Amino acid sequence: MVRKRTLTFATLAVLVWAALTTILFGYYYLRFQEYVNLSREYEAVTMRVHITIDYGNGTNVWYNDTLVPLGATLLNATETVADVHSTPYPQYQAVFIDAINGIFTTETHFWWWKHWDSEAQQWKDGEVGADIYKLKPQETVMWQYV
Amino acid sequence: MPSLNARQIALLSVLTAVSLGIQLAPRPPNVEFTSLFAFIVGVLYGSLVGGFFGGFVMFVNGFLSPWGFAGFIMPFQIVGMATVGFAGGIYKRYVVGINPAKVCAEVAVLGAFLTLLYDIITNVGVAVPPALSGVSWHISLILAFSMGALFSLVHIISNIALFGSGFILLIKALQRVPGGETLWSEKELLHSQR
Repeated sequence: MVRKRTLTFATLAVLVWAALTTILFGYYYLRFQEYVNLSREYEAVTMRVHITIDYGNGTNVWYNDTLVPLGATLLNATETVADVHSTPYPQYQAVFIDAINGIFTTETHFWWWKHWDSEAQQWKDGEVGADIYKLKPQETVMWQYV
Repeated sequence: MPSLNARQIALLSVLTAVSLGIQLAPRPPNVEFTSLFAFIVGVLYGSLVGGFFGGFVMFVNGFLSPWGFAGFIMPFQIVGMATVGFAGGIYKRYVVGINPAKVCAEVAVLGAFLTLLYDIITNVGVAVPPALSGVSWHISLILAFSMGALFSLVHIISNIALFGSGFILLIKALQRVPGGETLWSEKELLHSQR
């Protein structure tokens, strides 16, 4: 039989836990609402794109609905979801991707990008550098380690 | 108020100075020792002294705090901390004959509960200025509680640790001080006989 004293202190502990979690829930709910309102405010100057990174070993990670500024390049967008190492080559007016999330290019493997052609329903190779290609709203792009 | 002898008053003064010293020193926000000291003073000297101790420390802290003048929150801080000291006096009545491990657990729970109570009281104080300036009371209260949520979390967790680990040690140490009259008068007697 649980003693009245133990029960009293257990009740106090549960009360503290319940009050604290309620307060924390309120805090996170307000912060969430803040971000929702902020994203609504910026809707006119932002867009959502979908990025997938195929590491070439069967691992394929999707970053759906990534919020980027209007006119963002593929490189800008990729940098928002992954750790990107790149080297600029001013003579070619291009940037070369050295690594994404710690996976570096080698003599035999490198990072290649594609975009989804929704009319043809297939992936199409990127024709320009990632720093030049400007994304369109709701566009889907893929980085592939090939 | 209970009548206190010189040694008890001296101990209370030292505890007040220590509490104020820690309270005014640079420290992580909401990690404080005043509530533990107020609770202990309540246990040692009763609810009234404990309550007065907590209220007084927060009164001085309200003016000298490194975070600036407390303003509207000060009366709420005083009431909150006085409640902690008062609760110490009440707990004193029920602590006799309980094994130390159980006391540690009970005091940790009490520390969490009293800290929560203190935070609720002070958050009401935070909600007063916006409410008086025209923001509706429920919005002011929701904002005050949600903005203080992470601080409350730190406050409660740190006080669970402090109350649970520090109470028994401090009580044992402090109980020896006022009991020293006999020892000192015996020593004085020995010296006078030489």
